[in-house]
Amino acid sequence: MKFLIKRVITLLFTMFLVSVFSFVAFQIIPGDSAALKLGMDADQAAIDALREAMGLNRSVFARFFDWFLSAIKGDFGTSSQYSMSVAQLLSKRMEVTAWLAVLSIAMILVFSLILGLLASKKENGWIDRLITILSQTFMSIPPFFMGIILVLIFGITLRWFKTGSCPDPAEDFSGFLKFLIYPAIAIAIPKIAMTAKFLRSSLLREQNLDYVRTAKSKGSSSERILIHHILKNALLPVITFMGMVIGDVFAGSIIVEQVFNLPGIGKTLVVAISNRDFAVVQTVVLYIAMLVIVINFIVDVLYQWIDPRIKLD
Amino acid sequence: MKKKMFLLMLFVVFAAVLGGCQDGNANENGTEPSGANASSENGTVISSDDSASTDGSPVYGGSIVVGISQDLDSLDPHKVVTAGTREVFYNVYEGLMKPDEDGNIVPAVASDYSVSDDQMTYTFILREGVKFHNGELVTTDDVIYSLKRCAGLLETSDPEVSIESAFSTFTDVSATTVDGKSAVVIRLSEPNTELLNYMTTAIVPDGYTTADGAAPGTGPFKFESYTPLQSYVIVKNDDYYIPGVPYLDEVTFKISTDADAAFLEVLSGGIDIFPYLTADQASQLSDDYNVEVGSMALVQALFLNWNAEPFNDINVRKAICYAVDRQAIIDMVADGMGTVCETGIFPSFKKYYDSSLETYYTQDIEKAKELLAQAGFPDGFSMTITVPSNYKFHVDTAQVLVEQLAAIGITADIKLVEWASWYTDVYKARDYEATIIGLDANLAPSNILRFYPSTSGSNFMNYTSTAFDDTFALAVSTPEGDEKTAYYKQIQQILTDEVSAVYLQAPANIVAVSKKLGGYTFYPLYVQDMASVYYME
Repeated sequence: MKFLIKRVITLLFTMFLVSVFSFVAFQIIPGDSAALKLGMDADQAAIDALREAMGLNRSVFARFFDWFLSAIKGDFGTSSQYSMSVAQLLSKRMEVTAWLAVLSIAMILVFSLILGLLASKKENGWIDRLITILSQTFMSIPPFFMGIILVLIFGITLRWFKTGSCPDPAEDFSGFLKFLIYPAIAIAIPKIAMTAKFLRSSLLREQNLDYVRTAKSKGSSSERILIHHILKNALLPVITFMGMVIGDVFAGSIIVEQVFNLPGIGKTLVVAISNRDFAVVQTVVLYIAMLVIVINFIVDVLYQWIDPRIKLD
Repeated sequence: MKKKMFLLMLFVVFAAVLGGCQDGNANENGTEPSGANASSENGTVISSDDSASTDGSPVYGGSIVVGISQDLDSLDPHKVVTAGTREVFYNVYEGLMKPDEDGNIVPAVASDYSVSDDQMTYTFILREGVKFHNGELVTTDDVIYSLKRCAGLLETSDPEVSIESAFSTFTDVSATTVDGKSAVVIRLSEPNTELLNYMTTAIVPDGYTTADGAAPGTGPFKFESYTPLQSYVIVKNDDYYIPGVPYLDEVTFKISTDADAAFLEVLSGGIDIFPYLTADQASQLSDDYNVEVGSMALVQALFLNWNAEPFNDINVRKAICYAVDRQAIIDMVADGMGTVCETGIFPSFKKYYDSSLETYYTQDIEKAKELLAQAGFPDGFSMTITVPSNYKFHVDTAQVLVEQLAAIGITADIKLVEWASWYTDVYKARDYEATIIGLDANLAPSNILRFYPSTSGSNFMNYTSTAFDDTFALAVSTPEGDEKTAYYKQIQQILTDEVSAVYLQAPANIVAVSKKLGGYTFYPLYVQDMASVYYME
């Protein structure tokens, strides 16, 4: 309980800091959303009037705290470009990004586990070598490049999907998931390669420890040793690593959404930055920060569940 | 031994991956010479296999997808400021007048108009039976409301509505009847000879505000749905006042803000019409598309800041003009598609454009060097060209210019900035040395020249010329005719001679159109007219 309270306080404090930083960054970069909205022919009087109406003439502090306080209450403001509430603009987009993340994380978990186990089964065997070479190759391919390759192969040559025509999840959910598979692969592949390699070396390290020999001499089958003893211990560092990977998955989705023209929050963020749409940018940044923090919290809890020796507070 | 082999294999894999990256880069930078060359006057089909060109007989019905590379500004037509949204809204909203494909201004919601001899009273007779998309008839109240809203004359004004500066001389907009027909009279405080070109302002219902959602219009298509960052869908207006227009039942404008991703969508066959292709992309299109080439309705130039050293010296500006080979730029960045333009008005203004200026500054390196020496820079100097990075076309042009300027000893650096930064630092604060951009306009010649008067807020190059200011005032106040044309030709001479900017070209607009479609029409301004497009038998 104490741990939970501590965590929530850290979460709030981190989110406050993150919003301060993104707010400051927004003040430093040039560009004025009022002037951008009125276009090249607007005269200064019109721009000033709009700045006044948008509240841009108030002090930096007033603007920040107004935004932050109403954000805590759940009101994230109005998008200056779309003239609609940020919550309304983002809710559908979050769904897209969330499913993309879920799909790619599921792929990462399943495939890296399989590959890691296969590779560690016989160190320096041909399977191990093949997996090592492949993972070395694929971990150096950035998601956007992988995305372009996938679009070229499956979208343009084979025409298995129509690039950029992502179905609406409310109307055609299975079609929506089918479409998301390709961007999810683009994000997952380098992460699968890294995680598999990490798991392999972690498994190999554990295999040579004394407790494995003890278990063997007790007569346990090697499958039982692997699953009940080695894997459990080997997973600990991998889970920490996964916490980082999941943060990366969100970062990767921002770029991959551009390549596949997916209407997710990553794409929204990029457009909002170039339009100086302050409320949208702040909300998206805050949302991503919150996700990363919450995921790390889950990682910590998992940790204790796997190894009760670890005390959370 | 085994270990060594393994390392070797790893190394080979690395090398392959790195090599692959390099190859990709090389392809991207290299410009492939292609046989596709065409003049850019009025839409030439240059596809290798154009047996199925635009002659097939039209059929009614069907839906198409048109790719656009910008999201919409607003669903309120009076808040639209970008050309990208204007060209889409042409299908949905109409003014009293409307531009046609030949550059004329023709009646739309109005059926006829008259202008008083002193050019201070304009009377528009409303077309009978024009209905908004919500089924209501257009009345004088709607017209008066729409015009007043854009003139800033409403009692409660919305600061986001973009005020049309040409309407600043309105003293009164009122209803009347002419021969028993409803009409609207506009009275001005001073004569305006070019007002008709601005009467394209969308007519919306009386009392409409942005909060009501997408405005009902009177155009050939009506609004169906809009999803931010995804699509804008319009459907056929069955009540359109021109019978038989439009052909299509539904048009989806698909928004792809990333230019490369958008082109991948074209390649995967998800888009039927895609404007503003690069020449390189056009050469990669499959057989499913015709490539049509028109003019982009803008003038591209290297703008120099007259307040920055050494560009305040006319000899320096002239030297740069003589250093530039415009045709070489067009060949490099657009495969030869585009027209050399050496003045502030582009060729689509057929009546006013002075084509004799196209050879005013032909490349002459010796002369350029001489002029630089006269200005006190015998060994050249260094300068920075600030270019908005979202316009690949301008960035490519900058790269060619850097090479050409090097020949006379000028070392130019390219500084890429985001559009919002360009807008604030270069356009508004005028804090730059040189920049490359294209200027667009509506059909009024005074509109493209709005950047040059010394008092203009849009004069981002700090151009000051009494000769220009005086002649411009005369040109604007003279009624249409030979005298007005002569003044505008004189103005172009002044702009070129004083080197208000280093004008480069009127770029070509390259459009991919599905071979199943016909009727795609180019306009001398930003318009994507879907009413003329049809499926072919």
